[in-house]
Amino acid sequence: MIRRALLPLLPLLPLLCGLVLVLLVLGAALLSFAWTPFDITRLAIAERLQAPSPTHWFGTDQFGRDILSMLMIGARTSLAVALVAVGVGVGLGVPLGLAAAAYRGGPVDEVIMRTNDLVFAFPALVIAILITAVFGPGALNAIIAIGIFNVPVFARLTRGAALSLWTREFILAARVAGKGVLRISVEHVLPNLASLLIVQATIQFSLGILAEAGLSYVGLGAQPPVPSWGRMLAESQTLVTIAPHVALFPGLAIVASVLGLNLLGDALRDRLDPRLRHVHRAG
Amino acid sequence: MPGTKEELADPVREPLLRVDALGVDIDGTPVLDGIGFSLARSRTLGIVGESGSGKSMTALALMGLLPRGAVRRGSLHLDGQALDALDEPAMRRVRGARIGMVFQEPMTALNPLHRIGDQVAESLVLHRGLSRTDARRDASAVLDRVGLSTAIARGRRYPHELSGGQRQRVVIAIAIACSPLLLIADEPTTALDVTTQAGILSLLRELQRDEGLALLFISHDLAVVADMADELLVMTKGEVVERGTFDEVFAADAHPYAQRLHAASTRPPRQRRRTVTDTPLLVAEGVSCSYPGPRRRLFGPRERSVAVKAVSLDIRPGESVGLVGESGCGKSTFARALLGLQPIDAGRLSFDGVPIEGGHTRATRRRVQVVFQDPYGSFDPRHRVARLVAEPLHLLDERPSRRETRRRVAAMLERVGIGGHALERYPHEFSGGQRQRIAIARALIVEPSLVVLDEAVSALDVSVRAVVLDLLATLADERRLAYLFISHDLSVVRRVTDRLHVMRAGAIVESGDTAAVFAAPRHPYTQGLLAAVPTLPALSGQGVAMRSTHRP
Repeated sequence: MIRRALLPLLPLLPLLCGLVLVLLVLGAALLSFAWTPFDITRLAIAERLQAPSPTHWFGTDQFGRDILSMLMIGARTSLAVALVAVGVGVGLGVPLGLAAAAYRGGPVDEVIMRTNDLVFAFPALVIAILITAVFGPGALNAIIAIGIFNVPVFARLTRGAALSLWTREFILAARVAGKGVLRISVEHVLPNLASLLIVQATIQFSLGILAEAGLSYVGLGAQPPVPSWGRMLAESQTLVTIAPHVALFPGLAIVASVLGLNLLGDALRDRLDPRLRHVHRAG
Repeated sequence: MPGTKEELADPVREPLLRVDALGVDIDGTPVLDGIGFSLARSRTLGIVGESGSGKSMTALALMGLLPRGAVRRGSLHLDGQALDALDEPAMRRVRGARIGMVFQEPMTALNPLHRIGDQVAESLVLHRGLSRTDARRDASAVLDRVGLSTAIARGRRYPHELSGGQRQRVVIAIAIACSPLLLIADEPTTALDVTTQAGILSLLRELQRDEGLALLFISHDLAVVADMADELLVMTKGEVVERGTFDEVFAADAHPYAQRLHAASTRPPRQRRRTVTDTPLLVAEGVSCSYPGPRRRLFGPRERSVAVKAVSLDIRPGESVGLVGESGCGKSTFARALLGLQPIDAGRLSFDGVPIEGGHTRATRRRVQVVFQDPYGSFDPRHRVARLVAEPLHLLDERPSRRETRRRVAAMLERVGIGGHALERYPHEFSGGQRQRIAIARALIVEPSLVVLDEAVSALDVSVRAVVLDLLATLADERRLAYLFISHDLSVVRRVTDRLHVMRAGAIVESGDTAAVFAAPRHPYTQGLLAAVPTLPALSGQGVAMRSTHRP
């Protein structure tokens, strides 16, 4: 009987899993502002490389710092960098894509799309290294570097989806009602792209977390003493054979957040389309 | 057990398909109930009903293609084989080999990425076990059989390179490739023009005659079914309410729903009062429009394909003018030019003396509005009805307050027969006919002088069509509206327009008063169009007498 009651919830499973994972990571990050199990600025060499135990749930690293606390504070960095980078991508990329679609075929479209292609052509990591080499390493520059690469992604996606919307009859109806390109783009095109953009945003968000970890891994992301998951992985490389838990938990944290975001994104897309919601016919 | 039946089994007329007490439940609710009929070889059974009556569901139930969660009841026998007892692998062997199906939308029924020859060959490879080469060769023969030209029958074209009628022939070819016993045609000509429709229907009749096919023909168009079917089933709300020949099914003592359906198809819409003055509202002189073709050269101008060639017409206040032609003749492009949505290459277009050059001025735009064909696509799915209907109000010089806007929208919705409760609903919550009424409300809210109706009733069921046309006539009388009625459906245009123009390949080939053009068409193209229109036969009145012996 319990199984029959739970069965209708089965399609909700991905949403729930995604939600749980994301909330876990988010909760840890927010909690870290108020409290962490241990103070990570305090080095306790005597307690270094301890395996997970009731006192240190995830063990300690080579400097005796509690790994769980490090992960919690590192979550702040990862989430913040990824979030702002996505924000940059959406804030610049979506308007560019809408403009390109609204003036399709014209010079505006060409300029935007060719610039896009240019940015796409450069390998992201090389550019990120270039930017941080010129402007110095740090979280802010990491945001700029990752954000720049989100812009063409959103621009191209928006343009493609908007192009197909512009041929639809309800857009024609809006034009007959006398509305201009800007108004139509904002009132009609953008809302119909919302679910697509949200899904892409969650994907880019998870990629942003990976990118930040990657940059930190090569030493170009957030600098010590700010903890970062990527740097934790880098520093644990040599210790993997003697103390695998030092590499395991940062890795799991990255996996959990990326997986959770992807599951959430998929589930959100299904829910956001008003046609897919269960409604009663008006008769 | 067969053999216990009393009826004399005529070996030629013995039922090929026998359906008893067929029902379908979805999530416990019956959506189809008590469907029973039989069909013999070389005979056609027509199923008529409105959208949602369960006709398509019946076809899907026969094929075992019901959606997940649907449970089928009842017995199905095809040529002695019990279909209801078959599992999915066995049913797959039946589909395509013993039962073929033709769907409504030829474009979506064909895979756009495969050549047509391969798509026909697919079923031959699957069911007959032929090799690829042999299958392709046989496929060409089948494509030839369905009337496609030699060039196309070779099978190397892709679906998008063919016209709607040609695609539907390909779909029929796929359906008959393995010489099935039964062919189910679900609204096969609804999406096609009148002359193309005539071609497809005659092909189906020919195939039936030559191959001895049993044909199950589903449609909401009574005239077409009357033409094709030996016997009819009338369905509504998942049940059969009448069964018999055309005369029996619509006789005076038939089920009230059947009578209503027949009446809706034959009743002429309200005639509007004709109030015409002399100064024309809209004048088009030698208007030409074209589209840029694909880019063949890297630099330099693109070739343009001409959609409208030197079209001249005028519309006076208060009159209904029809623009008739088949798909691709340019009528929609011309309509867009009228609405200021399409730039004109040559000629002059003016509304109330003000030239329309690629766009209306604010003042004139308010006076020309449109109702589109597709009740599903003409609304932004994310906006509620109140916002959708209020959209044109931004054209008014004095934008009404929010409360005033709401009041006007509610009043307009009441006027078109949709209650005020619709304001906060989404468009997908309404039926096709209701959505068209909402579209009419949107068009009329700024009190235009001219409304362009671009195939506004083509996507609607016959009975709903009559209601919407009546509404349009009433509103035209109340508000002294002029209509430009664009359609490929001559029977509708005949009843609602005062004058009409016939368009072909971008140019107008005939013009005149509607009655005159229908009575004596001069241009051969017009004559061909008129000849292809299916007409409802008059009831012979014998249905009543025959009933008493044939009623099941």
